[in-house]
Amino acid sequence: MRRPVTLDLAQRLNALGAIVAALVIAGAWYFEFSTHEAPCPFCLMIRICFTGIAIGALLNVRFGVRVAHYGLCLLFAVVGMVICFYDVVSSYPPISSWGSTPFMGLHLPTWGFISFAAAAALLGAVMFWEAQFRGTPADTESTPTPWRYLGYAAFALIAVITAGNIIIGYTVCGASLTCAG
Amino acid sequence: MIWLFMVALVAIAAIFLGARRRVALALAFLLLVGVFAVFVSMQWGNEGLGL
Repeated sequence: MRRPVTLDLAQRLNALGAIVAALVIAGAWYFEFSTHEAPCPFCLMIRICFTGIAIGALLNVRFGVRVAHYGLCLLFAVVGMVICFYDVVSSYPPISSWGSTPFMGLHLPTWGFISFAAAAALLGAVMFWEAQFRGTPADTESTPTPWRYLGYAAFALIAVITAGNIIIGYTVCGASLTCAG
Repeated sequence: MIWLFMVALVAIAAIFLGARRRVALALAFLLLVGVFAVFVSMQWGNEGLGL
């Protein structure tokens, strides 16, 4: 039984989630450019994890809401938490290696940890909404125009952010495979 | 490390352009394993967390 209303709403919320993930990275850009400080390799990996969460959400937008897509988002959130945690504890007390000035009393890696933990908790909560997994996904063409544009905006925003991160990553790490050398 | 962002961009493009779901998922998992592998390789042998 097709339940387009429920499914459409879930896909729209996933598009919004992808946009939020992209805006988080855009916030990091703001700190980077306003303080004229290049991001550390850890910070780049944290951005990749936010991009991964957005990719999971975009999979839900494009192919319909699936448990596997949420699982992918959750795995990226967990890896992001691990990297943020290591970043925080390995350079305690917070010193110049983090570069940016604190935001509301906390440095960006700490905010990253909080964000990933919040994303993981939100994903767990969203899984309780079982109705979203039933029915046939609404395809892009049948979706009313304004909501279709929301999906397009999510794709465009995260694509532009990721392309920008390629340039930033090159300025920080060059073509290095791991940024270690 | 830019290869990770490139993989991410290719995954986004694949999803948008309507590639097979398996292909898109494979690219996403490559990104997931890649970022974790880079993280581990950077820290391998760096014990003690600097505390």
